[in-house]
Amino acid sequence: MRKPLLLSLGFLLCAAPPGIARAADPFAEANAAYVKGDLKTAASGYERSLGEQGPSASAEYNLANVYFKSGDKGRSRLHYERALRLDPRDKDTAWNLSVLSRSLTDVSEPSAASVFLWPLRTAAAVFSAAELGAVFGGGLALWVLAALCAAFVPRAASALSRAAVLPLIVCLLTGALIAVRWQELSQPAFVIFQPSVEARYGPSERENKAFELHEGTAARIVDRTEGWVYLLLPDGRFGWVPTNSGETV
Amino acid sequence: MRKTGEVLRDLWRALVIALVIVSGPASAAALAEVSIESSVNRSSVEVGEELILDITIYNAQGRVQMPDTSALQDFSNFSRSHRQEISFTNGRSTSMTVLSLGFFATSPGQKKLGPLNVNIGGVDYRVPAADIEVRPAGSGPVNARQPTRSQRAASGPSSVSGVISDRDVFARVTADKEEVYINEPVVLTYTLYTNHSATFKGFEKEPVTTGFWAEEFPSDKALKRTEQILNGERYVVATVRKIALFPTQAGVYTVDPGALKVIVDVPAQDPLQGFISSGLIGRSLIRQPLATEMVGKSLAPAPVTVRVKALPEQGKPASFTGAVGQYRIDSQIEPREVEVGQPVTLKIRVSGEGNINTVQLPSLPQLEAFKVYDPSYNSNVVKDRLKVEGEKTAEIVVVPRRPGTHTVPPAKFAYFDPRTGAYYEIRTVAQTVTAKPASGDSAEDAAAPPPAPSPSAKGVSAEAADIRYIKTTRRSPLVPGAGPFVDPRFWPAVASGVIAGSVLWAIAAARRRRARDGRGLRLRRSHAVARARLKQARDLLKKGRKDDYAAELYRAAHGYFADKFDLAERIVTTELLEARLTDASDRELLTRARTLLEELARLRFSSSSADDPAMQRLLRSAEETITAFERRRIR
Repeated sequence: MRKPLLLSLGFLLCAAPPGIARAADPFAEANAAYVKGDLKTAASGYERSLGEQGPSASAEYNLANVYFKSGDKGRSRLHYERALRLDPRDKDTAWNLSVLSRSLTDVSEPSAASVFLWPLRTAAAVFSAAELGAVFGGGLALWVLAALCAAFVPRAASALSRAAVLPLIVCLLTGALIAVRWQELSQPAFVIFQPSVEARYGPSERENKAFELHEGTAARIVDRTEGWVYLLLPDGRFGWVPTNSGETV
Repeated sequence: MRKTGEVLRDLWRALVIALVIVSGPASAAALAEVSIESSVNRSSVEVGEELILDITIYNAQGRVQMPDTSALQDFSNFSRSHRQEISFTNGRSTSMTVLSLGFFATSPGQKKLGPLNVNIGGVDYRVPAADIEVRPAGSGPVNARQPTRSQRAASGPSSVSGVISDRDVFARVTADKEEVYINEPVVLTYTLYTNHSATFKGFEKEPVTTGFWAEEFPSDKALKRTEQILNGERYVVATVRKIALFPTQAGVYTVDPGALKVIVDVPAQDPLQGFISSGLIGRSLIRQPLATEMVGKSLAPAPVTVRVKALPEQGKPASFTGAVGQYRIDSQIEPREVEVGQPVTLKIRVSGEGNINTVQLPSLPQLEAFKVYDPSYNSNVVKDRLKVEGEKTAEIVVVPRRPGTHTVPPAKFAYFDPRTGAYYEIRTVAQTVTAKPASGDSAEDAAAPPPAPSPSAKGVSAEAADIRYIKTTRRSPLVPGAGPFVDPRFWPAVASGVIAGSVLWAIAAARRRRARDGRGLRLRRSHAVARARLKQARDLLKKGRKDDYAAELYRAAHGYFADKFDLAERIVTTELLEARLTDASDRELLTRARTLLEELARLRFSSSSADDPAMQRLLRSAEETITAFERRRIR
């Protein structure tokens, strides 16, 4: 009985139309194009990979490399930041971003962080937002589940209450890390694409110019209005720039 | 003596005449201020080459509409833009509307671009045709922008005096080459021409260099000033900027050179009035009466077309990584004699002319005798001679693993020289290192690796380190998504979880406390247990099992009192109940309980003789007694 079934399956696979053949991997094709030096094809391949295969720190990193080689510092910065957001622990991305940052026109030194918050910020930077959210949510869910079991099985409540301490601590710690990174999590980053753009005191061309920003500079969006975004730079400066002068990370 | 009516009539006539006299010239003046000029950036183009028609409208009265170009037979319109400028001259303001239309010719021959109609405030103004010579494609080089004679519209007087025209101040962008290879530089030179005093105020719009790696030459090296005679007029000619563009892909590219901003000094009190700020000053060649305002002008040079050729495949070495230019390579190792486990620094340097920033230094092959650490890079780009040159150095720390004389093989570097159109592969010389056995050091020290060179520790400049290579495998994030924190449902869900968890823990704690309270548990359950037993007794009575009924009824009552007063069931007696029920209001309860217990005792030992009605009565008595006790809250 088994043999005819296997034979039938084999026949079906062989007779399958060509469309069922394994689809080309756009990521691998883009890598091949990059090695050949065809940066344009590589860029479109990585974009396609991100669109079809979902988010990937590797694809964002490689795309950033393509833009770096092409001289497009703005887009390069954008994709390095996206790669770092997905995988904050990747050393290659951090290295390349530091190389790129040192070649940018604008040098914006962050204002001094509190000595108490610095260790928390350092720890929080190691994890992506999705990881923090998953750990926090998981810890909370375990704690609630333990409570549910304890409520319906009083005899096990003592053991369950001791076991629930660990997810509670995880929740509290993760919550502290989230709180420290809250500004970064709730305020998306914006990267300037244009070679130079004037930041103004208000969202209008008629407003006075505050300072100038150049391509590759990243800042946090703290407010938006039609056609304009209000940016906060790491050194504490604020300014409005046109929305089309860059892109959100 | 004239009558009043006649006087008034005369006055009225004079008033009307005065109004006509005043309004006539004013109207004429208003109408006369609308004027139109048109110019093309080239009078001779190839088929498919761009041609820009600028229509400048002075003091337009009303809305300016783009002309309809659909009727043009030999030209195709591909772009339209519209900008407004206002200048102040001699105390008067002049507004200009400039319509720029991009065309390309579709067939060769002597053609006419136009005529076109421009509608301004509901009135059509005719822009006469321009004569254009269209050459066949590929017949000649692309020309940079040259101003041509302007043509006047059919209506309206000439342009307002004092306004700077494109003939007075203009800019050109030239490329030093029309055709280059990938990564071969093409230098764009921005040249400003002026026959007025003018200040160069920088770029209003930066050039768009997408597809190119751009290297800016220092302004103090790029700036150059001369004088030239063009079309019979003397101009100050200044080179204001030079940029080297290294194309990254093959193809034909049109570079948008951006827009320059100049302030033209219309006043000419001193023809040799000097420099202002960091701008360029032309020698004033004033032809017009003195004025007191400065006129701002935006100069948008014509785009530059660059053809980029792909590098030839023939003869391309395997070690070629994209370097184009003229290069040299050398290497150095020091110290040459060390102990095993001690670090040695190998330096490989590539120097020459080309895009140094993108040069990839050769990597070392597998070295069995050495432990090799990641290299650090240092590059130095020099642009003083108005070409991009410099050097890039890799410092690699290697540690000999065992004693002996070890050789670091030559490093190969390949580049393409566009001057000769050929590839060259150059190499360093082999380097040797003598490693002596470690002496006097502990095993851990000998094995301990040297600290890896830190880029920041070496004081590397902004362009120093090279980026790391691409990832060869695609990894998806461990936890996908951008994080739930900005989702509006997340925080209400968290709050719900916290509240639900807290409530459940409170319930669990209460249940634990109650479970530990044995006496309380008996007390709380006493009524339920008694009712269950009474029901059981009723069922037994119905079945006629009198002995079982009596026993069950006995247990129901005694068990109830035992649970109520936390006693053992067998020791429940009237005396004990009496001791517990000390309140005066409990007398009745005590009497009922005593009566019940006595009757139950009699029944238990004489159940067979009791009749059913008596048993039923006793059952009801037990139920009522227990109910009465329930009403009396005993703690």
